[in-house]
Amino acid sequence: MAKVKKGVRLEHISKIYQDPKTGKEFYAVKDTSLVIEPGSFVTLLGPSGCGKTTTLRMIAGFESPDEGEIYLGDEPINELTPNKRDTAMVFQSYALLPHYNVFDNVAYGLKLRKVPKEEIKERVMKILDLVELTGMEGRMTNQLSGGQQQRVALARALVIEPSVLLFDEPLSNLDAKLRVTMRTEIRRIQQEVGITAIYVTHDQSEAMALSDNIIIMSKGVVAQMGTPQEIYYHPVNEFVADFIGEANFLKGPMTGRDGKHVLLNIEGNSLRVEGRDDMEKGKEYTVVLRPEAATLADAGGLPCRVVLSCFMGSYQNYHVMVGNTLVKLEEHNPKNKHIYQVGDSCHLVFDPASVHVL
Amino acid sequence: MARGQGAALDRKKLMADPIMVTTIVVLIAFLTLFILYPLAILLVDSFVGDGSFGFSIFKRVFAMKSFTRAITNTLKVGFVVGILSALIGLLFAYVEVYVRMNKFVGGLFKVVSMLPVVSPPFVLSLSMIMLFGRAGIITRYLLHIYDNNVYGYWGIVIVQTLTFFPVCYMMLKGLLKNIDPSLEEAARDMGAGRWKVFMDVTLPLMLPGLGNAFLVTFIESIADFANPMLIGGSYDTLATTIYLQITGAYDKAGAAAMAVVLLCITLLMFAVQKYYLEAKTAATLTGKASRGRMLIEDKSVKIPLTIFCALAAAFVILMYICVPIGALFPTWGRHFFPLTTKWFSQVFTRYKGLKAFKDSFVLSFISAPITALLSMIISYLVVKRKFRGKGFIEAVSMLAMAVPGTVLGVGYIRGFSPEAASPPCGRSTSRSRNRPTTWARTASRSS
Ligand SMILES: Nc1ncnc2c1ncn2[C@@H]1O[C@H](COP(=O)(O)OP(=O)(O)OP(=O)(O)O)[C@@H](O)[C@H]1O
Ligand SMILES: [Mg+2]
Repeated sequence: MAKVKKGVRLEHISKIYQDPKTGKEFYAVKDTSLVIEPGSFVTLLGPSGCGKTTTLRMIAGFESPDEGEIYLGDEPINELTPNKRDTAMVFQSYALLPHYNVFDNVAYGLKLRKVPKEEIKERVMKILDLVELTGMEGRMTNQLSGGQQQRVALARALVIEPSVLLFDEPLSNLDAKLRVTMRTEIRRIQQEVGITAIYVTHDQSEAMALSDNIIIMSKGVVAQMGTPQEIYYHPVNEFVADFIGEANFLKGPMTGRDGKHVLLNIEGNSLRVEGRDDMEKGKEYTVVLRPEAATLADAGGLPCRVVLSCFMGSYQNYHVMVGNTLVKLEEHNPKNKHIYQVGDSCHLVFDPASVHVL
Repeated sequence: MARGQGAALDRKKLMADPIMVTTIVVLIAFLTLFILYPLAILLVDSFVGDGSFGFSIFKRVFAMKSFTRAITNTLKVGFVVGILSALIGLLFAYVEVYVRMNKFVGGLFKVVSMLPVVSPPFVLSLSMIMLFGRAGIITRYLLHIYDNNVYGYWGIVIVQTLTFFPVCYMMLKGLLKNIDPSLEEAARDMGAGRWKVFMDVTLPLMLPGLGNAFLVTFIESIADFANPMLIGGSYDTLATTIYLQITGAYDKAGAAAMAVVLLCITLLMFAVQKYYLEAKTAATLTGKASRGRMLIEDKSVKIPLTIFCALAAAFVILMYICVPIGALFPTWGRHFFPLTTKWFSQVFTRYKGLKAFKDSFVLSFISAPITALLSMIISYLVVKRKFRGKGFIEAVSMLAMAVPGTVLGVGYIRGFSPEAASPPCGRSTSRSRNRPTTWARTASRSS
């Protein structure tokens, strides 16, 4: 693929829909600006109805934004119909044409581009090889398993060598095991081809496993964009922290500063954590603590009381009360550790660097 | 073993319910008497009507020029009407399902494409004659054509197309709605323009459905009696030829043989439609739409489609308006003012209109409840119950659906009236389109 890689840029994009019942208009996507780097794999992640599909379909050209401009590379593409856009979409329902066989499905885009027959054959075979479907080209689509159908859909999108691949929950119709295999496959192929990919999902482990960058959406706006690590360790707000993985929130006012660290008063106890420069004394802050970042001990840290202690195999699941705040934690590899029982008083211990202050 | 036990149990349960048993017995007797018996009479008549068993009667009717011409005429009309109806039905269905229309215009198209379903059968023939006939308003007064002949091939084709396209429209609308929009989006995403998408995706997926719509219309068309009778002129179809064979030539046996030929054509089409196309249609469309269809807003698609539909709609509306308005003109095609109601009063005073009305209503009043009751009973029995004879009831009901009214009519005349040729069949003034008698309609609807 000797093509120049292209990124995607959204500038102040909004999409307004009418509620079919009340007839009231609302923003499905509101004033969204994004930069997606050429060759990167980006996922749009968020709860149901937050506008992921709408955003993706605006990039594909199936819906037109009511405000703003979309760029492919440096070219504005708002005016282009889907068939004129250099994007290819992989649908949740696969959307393979039922009256064509595998070969014809994959070759369809090339035929439309009037590529010579010989070349079509060569390119289709190459792509089928890439998605590991060699020998299946004569099958009708209803003679394929779900995973195979998804590979055909992927091959069909890849073969026209688009600048951007778009995925709308492509794996949600597959069983859990196949989902994991297929996502590794998709990532492998994307990296092999070096194509820009935008992937919609509401499965966070899928997003984590696939992406260079994750975009978290909430109610039509982008809550945060960043690498999986940034999103996980440095969420910008409680919504993002809560949406990605499990999170505990410890709240309290700042009482003082100690070099790089700040002191917070959490439920009557002083807590020392890594802070930021813009933090002010007396203001209320929230500390995000991941369940795997803390352990229980007999001394040090925040005093607490165990309300749930449950063996889960690879970890011991605890719920403890720090004052009036419930904290959930996972003690990994619990085999030779002391197991606290419900009602025990103990201390919640964690590294000040492993928490994040909002 | 278990199966035998189950069957025995089913039978036991059934026997414990005497009402059910009586119903089934009565039903079977009914179906036999009113559908199988007349058809059997037809067969007997056509094979042994002249005394000896054999094909002699068939040979005789096939030697008649008028009959062979009627067959080709019928097939020609059926073929063209089938194609035109399917295409016009597809046009209206496509516009409704795919194109964003202004609410009023969309609503209008919807009404127009349903109107013929609820209107009496030969209103269209009547308006056709009033508008385009020798004294037709349009032909004579607007275009100054004094010798236009609406009677014949094109007259039948136009009237039947307008009568039957709504059925196609409704069938195709359901199918179009079932196509997963993402199939079309995928094709478009691959680089296909709107026309390409239609040709490569929508149309191939619709083909079995279109075939189905074509055949259903074809069957309706060749069974139609009223319209060819009114507007066919000297262009005879099978239905009218059979009628003439009884009323004109007093040839019961010949008419019976002709009816059997018509029946064979229809049953063949019906079998193809029922067992081949219907299954295929269901197989290609297993739609589970992920997201609603984005309606087409491109002017380049919308404007031509709107124009086509508007023309068709205008024509249909014109046809329907001209009857009530025309009834108010003092002399049709000559004097338009002042409007008068004299024709309405004459309907009742001079033309025995009152009796016609009374007959229509009485027949409808008898047939409607029987039809409703029978269909309820039959569908309940067929779907919910297991009993011996169920296959029979199902098959005969299906047969009733396929048999053209004229065929059943001829059978009734032979089977139930002592002096064969009178009263002539097809004179039903009830709203039975091409089912000459109330019961025939009832029987044929109940499946
Ligand atoms: N054609 C439409 N008309 C009106 N509202 C719509 C339309 N399509 C989507 N919406 C609404 O827009 C909002 C965003 O929809 P969208 O499909 O983008 O959500 P999503 O993030 O993809 O959700 P999911 O994870 O459930 O697929 C939802 O509230 C949805 O109900
Ligand atoms: Mg979605």
